[in-house]
Amino acid sequence: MLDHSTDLDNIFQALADPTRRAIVEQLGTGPKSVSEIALPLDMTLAAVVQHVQLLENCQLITTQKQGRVRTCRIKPETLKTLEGWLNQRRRQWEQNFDRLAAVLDEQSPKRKKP
Amino acid sequence: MTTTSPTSGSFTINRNFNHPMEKVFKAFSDPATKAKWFTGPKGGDALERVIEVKTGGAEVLKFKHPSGMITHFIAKYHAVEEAKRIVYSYDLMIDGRHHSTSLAVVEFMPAGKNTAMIFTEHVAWHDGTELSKGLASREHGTSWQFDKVAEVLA
Repeated sequence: MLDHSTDLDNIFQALADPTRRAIVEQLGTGPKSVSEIALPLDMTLAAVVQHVQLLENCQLITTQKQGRVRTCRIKPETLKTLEGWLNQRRRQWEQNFDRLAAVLDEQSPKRKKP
Repeated sequence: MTTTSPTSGSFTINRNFNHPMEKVFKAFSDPATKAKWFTGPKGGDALERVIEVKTGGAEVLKFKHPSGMITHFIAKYHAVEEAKRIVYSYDLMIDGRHHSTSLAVVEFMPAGKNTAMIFTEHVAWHDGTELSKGLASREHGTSWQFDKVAEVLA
């Protein structure tokens, strides 16, 4: 489901915002409560909650409420989707280098593999 | 090997070419040779092409794909060491939007009479929404490129 393009749309839209990127970076060091996340951010708790909800909706993070504390953690599977994008770029270069090898072989036909 | 953070990632490609280092390097630095392998898919048009591979030089490839998509590759060469190493950065625009910025390092090493190449790129992505749109078009372009490789090798 995650490799669906609308999911990717949502993920990148979520990450296009610097505050949400900062939240994801914070969670990279381990799970945190919403108030812990809000601490270094210059905004109201309500605004932070909205950002957290958006990140949860696009499955970048998961949250769990225990008593009064909502704990947020990163969802590694979603970051894997981004890795898929990186692999696309990598494949494109692999193909460029395939073409390069063919061009080199054409320049000296004797060395061309059968 | 690939590594990722939320909005950037890097990868390394190792390749051996059955040709001497000078020749492989020339395929990167000689404009006519580079244009043969570093281009867009057939049926498209190069709208703008600059290849100036030297320290401080620039490379531009603005390409109209058969699908109508326009990709604009704008590179700057930071260090070009003859038959040894090429360091450049590039921006990629897709349909006028800033898509990604990369730092790429190409290193050449002798492997007997042949050449071992290590290509490393770190990519930072910008416009999130457009990114997945680009991905879909790229997948299309990618399958086409496989055909072209087969054609060249035939």
